[in-house]
Amino acid sequence: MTGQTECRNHPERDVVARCPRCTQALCRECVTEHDNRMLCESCLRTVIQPTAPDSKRKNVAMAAVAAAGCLLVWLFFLATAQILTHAPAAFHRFAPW
Amino acid sequence: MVNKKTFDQQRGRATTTLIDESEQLLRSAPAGVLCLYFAASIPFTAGLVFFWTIMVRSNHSIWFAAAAALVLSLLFVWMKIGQNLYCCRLSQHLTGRRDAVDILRAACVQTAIHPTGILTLPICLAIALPYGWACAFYQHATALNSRASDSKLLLELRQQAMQWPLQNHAVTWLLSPALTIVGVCAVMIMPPLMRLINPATPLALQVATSMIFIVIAVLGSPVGMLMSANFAVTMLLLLSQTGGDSAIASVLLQNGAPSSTFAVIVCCLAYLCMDPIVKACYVLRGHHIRSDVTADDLHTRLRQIRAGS
Repeated sequence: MTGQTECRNHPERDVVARCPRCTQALCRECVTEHDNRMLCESCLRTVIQPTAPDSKRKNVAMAAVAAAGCLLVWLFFLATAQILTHAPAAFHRFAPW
Repeated sequence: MVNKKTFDQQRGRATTTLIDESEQLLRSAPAGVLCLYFAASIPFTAGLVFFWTIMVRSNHSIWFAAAAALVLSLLFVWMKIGQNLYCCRLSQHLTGRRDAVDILRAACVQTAIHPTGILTLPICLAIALPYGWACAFYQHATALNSRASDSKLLLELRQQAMQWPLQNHAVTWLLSPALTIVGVCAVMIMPPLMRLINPATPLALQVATSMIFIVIAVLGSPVGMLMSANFAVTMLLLLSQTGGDSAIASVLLQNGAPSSTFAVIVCCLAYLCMDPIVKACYVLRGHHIRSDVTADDLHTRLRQIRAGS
């Protein structure tokens, strides 16, 4: 709890908590308990209304990145297969000398 | 006490303490948590061994390489999602919270982040210096809990990876399975590579080079190489007991010397032994880092006191 000692919204009041999501310092009036955590108003709104207008677009983007990730892994293992099939037999036998 | 707290906040806990706490966490967790880890990881490691064997031994392997690579990549994704669930369960056991895990979201996040590690981790390892941070980034990504928000995800992972570098590098050096795999591969590949470059290499030089690479590998990953050596010796003893002409021996040995499939099995066994502890270490590390802001460690301590009284 070092650093800021004044509430973000009420500079004349002392800080009693720091929001764990946005890390802003807040007075007693500006925080509320939710799920064992002291949250500020804006973060509480985000937590209890997770379906923001653009969340669907974000989910589609995340799914697209995940699909690209799958493709990348497949290409990597395909390249590994090519290397393994073309590597000389000596590479598959461990004889230190 | 004040000095110790300051030191803990600045440098993180001592590496040995963190590893000890991780082991305690694993021991106190229900058996189902560790079963979840193995249910996620064993299919991929078994698939990798099978994939390696058929690619090396079959003359027609190139025909079904694409299909085999697809199955292996799906098993990789399955492993990463399962490991994330394992870390979430460990985190829940640690904090006592029973947050619902959004499996679909976790699957998307893990599938989006971890494939990039296949490219970035070897590059970072080749450059050597940024490897510790990159490794921590991906380990913290596996240990992500469902509360992390999308917009701050990468920033949060970056902050966690940059925190307490000494502790992170020590854990990576002691327990990272990737360093062990690189060590085993270097020891395996260098002698034939040297013979391929210059077939007339003197025997003394071959022996000296092999010894140097073994020493470098042991210094680079002491625990992992010791574990790998144990597995290798045990497997060689079992093979010598079963006789050299069995079907398994023909896969694991080539003209009496261990084959590359043998090395892959050794690496997979070492990975399966070390990785659950590494994941537990990063779950704890993430918990300690987040606790600076969320005071989760105080909640956990209060819960333990309440449970004890």
